[in-house]
This record gives sequence, C-alpha cells and structure tokens, in this order.
Amino acid sequence: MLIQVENLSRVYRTPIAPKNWGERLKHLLRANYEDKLSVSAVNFNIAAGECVGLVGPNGAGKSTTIKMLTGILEPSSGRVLVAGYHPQRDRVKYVKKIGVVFGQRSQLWWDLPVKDSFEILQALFDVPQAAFKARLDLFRREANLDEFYQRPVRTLSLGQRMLCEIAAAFLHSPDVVFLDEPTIGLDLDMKARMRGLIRKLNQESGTTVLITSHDVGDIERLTQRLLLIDKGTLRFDGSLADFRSHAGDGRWWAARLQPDLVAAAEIQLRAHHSALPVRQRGEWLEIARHDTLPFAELMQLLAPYSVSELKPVEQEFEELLHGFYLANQAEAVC
Amino acid sequence: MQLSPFWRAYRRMVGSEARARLEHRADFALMILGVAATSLSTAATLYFMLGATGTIAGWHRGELIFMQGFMFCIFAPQSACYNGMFWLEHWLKTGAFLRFYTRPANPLLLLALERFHPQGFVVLAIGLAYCLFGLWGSPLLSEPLFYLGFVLLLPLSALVLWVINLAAISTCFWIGESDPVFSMSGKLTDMSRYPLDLFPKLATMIFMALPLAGTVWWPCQALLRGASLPLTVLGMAALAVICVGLLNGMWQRGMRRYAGAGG
Amino acid sequence: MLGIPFKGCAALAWGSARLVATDRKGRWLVTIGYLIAMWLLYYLWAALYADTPTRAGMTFNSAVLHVLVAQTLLAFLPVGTDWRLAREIRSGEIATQLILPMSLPLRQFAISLGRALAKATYILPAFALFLWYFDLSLTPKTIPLALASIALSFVLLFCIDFVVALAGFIATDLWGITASKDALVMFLGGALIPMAFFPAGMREVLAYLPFGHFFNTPVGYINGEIVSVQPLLIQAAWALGFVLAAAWAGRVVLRKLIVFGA
Repeated sequence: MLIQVENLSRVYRTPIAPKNWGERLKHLLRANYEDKLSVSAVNFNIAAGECVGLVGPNGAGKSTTIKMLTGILEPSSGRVLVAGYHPQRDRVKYVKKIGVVFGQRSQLWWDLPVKDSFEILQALFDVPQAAFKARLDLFRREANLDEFYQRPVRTLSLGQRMLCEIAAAFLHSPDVVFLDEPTIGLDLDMKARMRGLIRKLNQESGTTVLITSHDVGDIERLTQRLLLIDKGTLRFDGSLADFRSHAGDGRWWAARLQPDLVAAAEIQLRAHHSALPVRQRGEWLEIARHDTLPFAELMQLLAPYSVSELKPVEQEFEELLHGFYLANQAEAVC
Repeated sequence: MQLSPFWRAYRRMVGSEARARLEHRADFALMILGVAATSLSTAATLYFMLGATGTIAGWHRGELIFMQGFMFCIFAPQSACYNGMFWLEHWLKTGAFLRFYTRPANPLLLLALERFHPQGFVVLAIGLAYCLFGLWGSPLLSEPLFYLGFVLLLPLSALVLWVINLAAISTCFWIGESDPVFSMSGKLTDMSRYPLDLFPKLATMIFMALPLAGTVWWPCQALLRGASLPLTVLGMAALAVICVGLLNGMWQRGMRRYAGAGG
Repeated sequence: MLGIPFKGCAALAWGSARLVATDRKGRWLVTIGYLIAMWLLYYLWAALYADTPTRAGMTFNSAVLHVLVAQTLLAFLPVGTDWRLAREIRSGEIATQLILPMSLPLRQFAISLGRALAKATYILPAFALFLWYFDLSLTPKTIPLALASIALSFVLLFCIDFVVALAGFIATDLWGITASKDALVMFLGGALIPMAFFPAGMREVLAYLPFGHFFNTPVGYINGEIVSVQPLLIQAAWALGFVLAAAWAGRVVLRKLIVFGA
C-alpha cells in the first residue's frame, strides 16, 4: 500500500479564556487548556494509482488529516507511512515524493513569470530536463499553458493560477498528490479543464491522488473511492457505488404528509432507525430507500401522519452526501 | 562543480527576480532614491550633530561615520537576499506559508528562495563609500590586516544582524502581529551604530545580551581600536553560529506551533 | 457646516482609536520601545555635551528637550496612513470605501486622527514619566498655540502620507517612495536633530520650505523657544496648501481609477 494510516489522531489544545480576575491571575501562572479531538483513530490504506476523495462537512477534520499526511502536522497518536516515508521525520526526502495544492494558497513566485517559477521548482526538486520537458508538453496540451506561460503570476486570473498550481504540484512526477479544495472559486470551464488535467495525470502517469473538495462534481468525476470523515471519525470507506447503496440506493421515497405533522414524523423515523437519512422539504418528507427498512414497515410508520401522496425520487450524489451528513448530525443529537 | 538542487534553484530565482525588478524602471529608481535618502539623512544627522568639534566622548567623526557605513554594509545581504522576511506575517495570515513545509530544504534557506532584490547592492555600495569616507586619510587604509579583518568580520556581523531582525519578525509565529516587536528592536538596532560606551552600563549589558553589540561594536573594536583581531573573529564566528542555531530552533518551534494552530 | 459629516467622522475616529487600544500587547511593546529609545537618546546627547556647554548655540537642556519632544511627536503623530491606504488600494478594498457617503480623504483623516489620539493616550503618560525621571520640564509660553501647532503638524503629516499612498495606483513597490518621504520629513523637519545644528545656508533655504513645520515649529512652541504667532500662521498657510493639494491629487487619481477601472 502506498499510503498507510493507522489509528491516526490529532488533539488540539486551546487555552480556556479566564472569566474573572481570580482566574486571570491563575492564568498568568498556569494556563488551563481544553483538549479537542480533531481527528480520532482514523484507519485507511490507499494503493498506488488510486484517486480517492476525502469528503466531509466543514470542521470534520479533512484538512487536519491532509496536513498530517503531508508532514505539516505531527499526529498526536497513530502512524502515517507514505511511500515508505514517515512524513514528519523524513520531511525533506519525503516532500520530493509528493505534490501538494492547498486551494487559493499559492506556491508560485508572485512577481515572476510562470515559466521562471516552474524552472525554479524544477531545480529545487531536481527534475531531469527530459522529464521536465515531457511534463510541460502535457500541460501545454491539456491546460493550454502557453496562453499564460510567460506572464507574471500576479497578472493571472484565479483559474489560470490554479491550473499552474496543479501543474506545479505534478511537475516533479511525485508518487502521490494531495489536493485540498483545488477547484474552489473556479468557473465551470476552468473546473472542467482542471478535472481533465488531474484525471489525465492520474490515469496516464499512475500518480496517486487524494483530493478533498466540497464540490461533489470533483468527487464524482475524478474519484473511484470515497473516504467520508465527520467529527474526526472515518464514517465511510468504499467505492462511490457502495456509498450510493449505503446511503440508500440513490433513490428515496418522498411522502406528502399533513403539513403540521411532518416534523413529528421525522422524529419518529429517526427514533426508529437512527442512521437513516431523512429530511424535510416543505410538506414532503424524504426518506432514503434502505434494505433495513422495508416498504411495508415504512408505510406502517408513516400511517399516523396522514400520507396523502407517495412517490420515488432520484437523488443526486450531492443530496445523498447531504443526507449522510444530516443522519450523522441526528445521530450525534440522539 | 555540480551545485546542489537548492543552490541551482536559488541561482535561477536570483536571475529571474533581478530581471523582474529591473523591468519596472520607475520602481527601481524609487527604490534607489529610498536607499539614498535614508542613508544620506542618517549620515547627515550624525555629521551635523557632531558640529565643529567633530567628536563625541573621544570618538571622532570619521570613526562614527565608519560605524554607520559598517551597519549599512552588514544590512546589505539581508536587504538583497532576505527581502521576503517582511512578508512572513502576511504569509502566515493567508496560509501561503504552508509552502515552507512542502519544499525540500531547510525553511530558513527557503525564505531566501522567496525573493531577491538588487537594492542590496546599492546599500552595500553606499555602506562601503561611508566606510571609505570615514577613514579617508587614516593610516588604517594602508594596513592589509585591516582589510582582512573587514572581510572576515563583515559576513559574521551580517549574520548576527540578520538573526536579530528575523527573530524579531518571527515573533509573529506566536503573537500574530510582529510590527511592535520589530519597531522596538529597530530602535535598539539604530542606537547600536553608536559607540556603546556612550550609554549607561545597563544599556551596554542589554546590547551585549541581545546581542546587538555583535553587529557594529565588537567588530569595530578590532577594526578601529586595536582589539585582538583573531580573538574577535573567533568570538564573532562562535556568536554567529550560536545565533543561527537559536534562530533555527525558534523557526522549528514556530512552524510546529503554526501547523497546530488551525483546523 | 462645510458639509462635513462630523458625526460620521467622530464615529470612525472612535472606532479606529478603539482598534489601537485593543492591541494591548502591541501597545506595551511600542511604549517600552519608545522609552528605551528615549533613554538611549538622552545619554547620546549627554555624551555629546560632555566636553562642551553649548553646541550650535543650544545648551544641553534645550537640545535634548528638542530631540525628546520631537521623538515623542514622531511616536504618535505619524500613524502609517501611507501604508494602510496603499494596502487598501492594492487589495482592491478601496472599492468598498468609494461607495460610502463620505469623501475618501476625509474618511482616511478621521481614521488616522483616531489612531493618533489613541497612541497619544499611552505615549504621553510615558513621556511624562520620562521627564519626571530625568528631572526635565517643558515650558511652553502659550499652550493654545502649542496645541494648535501640533494639530497643524498632524494635518501636514496626514496630507503627505495620503499623497504618497496614492502612488499605490502607479508603483508596484512602495518602499522606495515611503522611505524617501520618511527620511525627508524626519531629517529636514527637525525630528532627528534641532534645525539650529544645520549649516546657516541650509537653514536659510529650509525657511522657505514646509519641512520645518512638521516637527521644528510645534517643538519650538512646546519648549517655549517660539512665542510669536507668526510661525503658526505660516504653518497654517502651508497646511491649507497641503490640504488643497491632497484633495486635488485624490480627485485626479480617483477619476483615473474610475475611468480605467483599475
């Protein structure tokens, strides 16, 4: 396995603000800290050549996980091994094997032309001229790099700059590339170009890609496998198809109920089946179709709420994901 | 000889940055104007302050001007090679600093890789001119040992000054805004261009501890006042090594803290 | 009166003053830095006067007070309007200011005034402490004139900062122009050494230029070296000229900005 993650956890310590003068004086001598578990005992492996999506709501622990995988952040406990390297301990050797893009945070030289930035990176990462030229040719073909190759980075549009950032991350033919929100703020055309480039590099060069994104389009179009993380815990690890069946089969039931009873019905369903994705949409209650809840049982549960209409609805991937987050929230509340 | 990857990258960056800076002629002219105005006003202040007597507590105008010039000379390397350090706080706030973790070299070297500014050469030229002007007519200028001492001590003092300035700026790893710290250390650095024996004992001790005495005072004791050159060179070399080691440690701690600060 | 929205200005000034006041760590560091610099300056000038009772016609007491008062004004009157506005121009944040119902220079003036007043609240007590420790005292002959001169000095400093900041529309790197401005204003303005130390010819030329009014004139009033109202009137005339020039420069640059959509 190229990436091995075992029992990975990260605790953040934040000082507790003193509330009165007594506490303030005590704080001067010895501050009190609160420990918050940002990532909790996460396990997964990724094989060479895979393109994996790491998704989850805001504050789920995605960025912390990526930071630990890239050697930026030291795990509080657990183990990370990427391409045989310990990311923190072997930082200088390790970063030659990886490429990293943090959305909207540039790694290029602001006042220099793109060409010069790439050539500096070529020297820094010790990329042989032939390999460098081959990569550039690929970027020229796939990302129309020539349009802005000679221009200073500061004059590029966000989309052009992000294309250059992606290209820069793949420049030294790394074994694995970590992309944290690479398409944030981009228009449709730029997103399509960006995804085309990433897919090409993943499929043709066999570069392993781990991508986090809130844009489900990135996940659907690029990845074969999904890691779903929420509240620091890995909630799902499997293929996209598996996920569809896990979060229902991608088809939901929509039941029209008496408007003042929708909320009560939702509570009843959650109490009956805590992991079941359910959500309100006006006077409709939508419930994921799931093997563990046969149709007859569902009808029985809904009967007291005056069902006036029932229809199957196709769910987009985004809605499935949303449903999954909601179900987790409900689980936490319960 | 084959250069290591970092130095090859550095050479490319220097070439490219110098080209980019010189392309904006108006900017470059303004930059030279800034360096000239700052250095001229500092020297003229000293010149007029001394007035007709030309001395201050036994130090002659020429020696004092040499000390000012020496300060310019040791500032020149960071003005050229570490111009990027003034952006540190901005990079930390915007997250652009993360690139320091994902490049294969020591972060302090990577900071030099961020930016190069040819204005350093202007600062060096002005500094050397002041040194020469200060010592014009002095027998020191005909002593080969003086030149040897100057060449040996200049880079060591430059390292010490670089460490002091960068350490002041790097406090932003902990306190967010390093401007007040930098302005405070800047005021002390400004005063360390004068002979330290003008100030009270406590001030001298502060200058030695920080160690601002390593920027101009100790080297000038050897260059102008006959203190042992070999001992001064050795002492300054040890000081520079310790300073750089401490700064490296400070950065490692700062980077660990920064990485652990966000979500 | 004159269509100036005083309420809005006061709110802005108060807001920016509070911003300065909330930075407690920075405030302490700046005050300590200021006191250390003053302490060292005192000894530097004491050493200078160790072997001679007068220099350039000034006694130790009058010279050191001049430098210390000038350094104090320097510690709270310039509030970095040039860098702040230039950054807003570069980042495009300026656009949000242009849609507000208040002229750009007036808004910037109110913000800068708030900052200067807030800084004065912690620099001036430190200065008083310093004077007490070294047994020095200020002897202004007319306090209203001294206060008016400090206010006019603030206006002059603000105007020059504002015009320099507008260069942010043209230059990509502002260090050169701001550093030149700072050096000129501090050196020729008499913030580093009293103008009496300059050669006679230079003083004669400077008498026709506005620089002396940045620091030398207010310091003269504070130390009681100036009694007559005439220098204040000349300072006021220069201040009026600077305000008109800054307003004109602002209009020209903003018109260009709107036309070219930079």
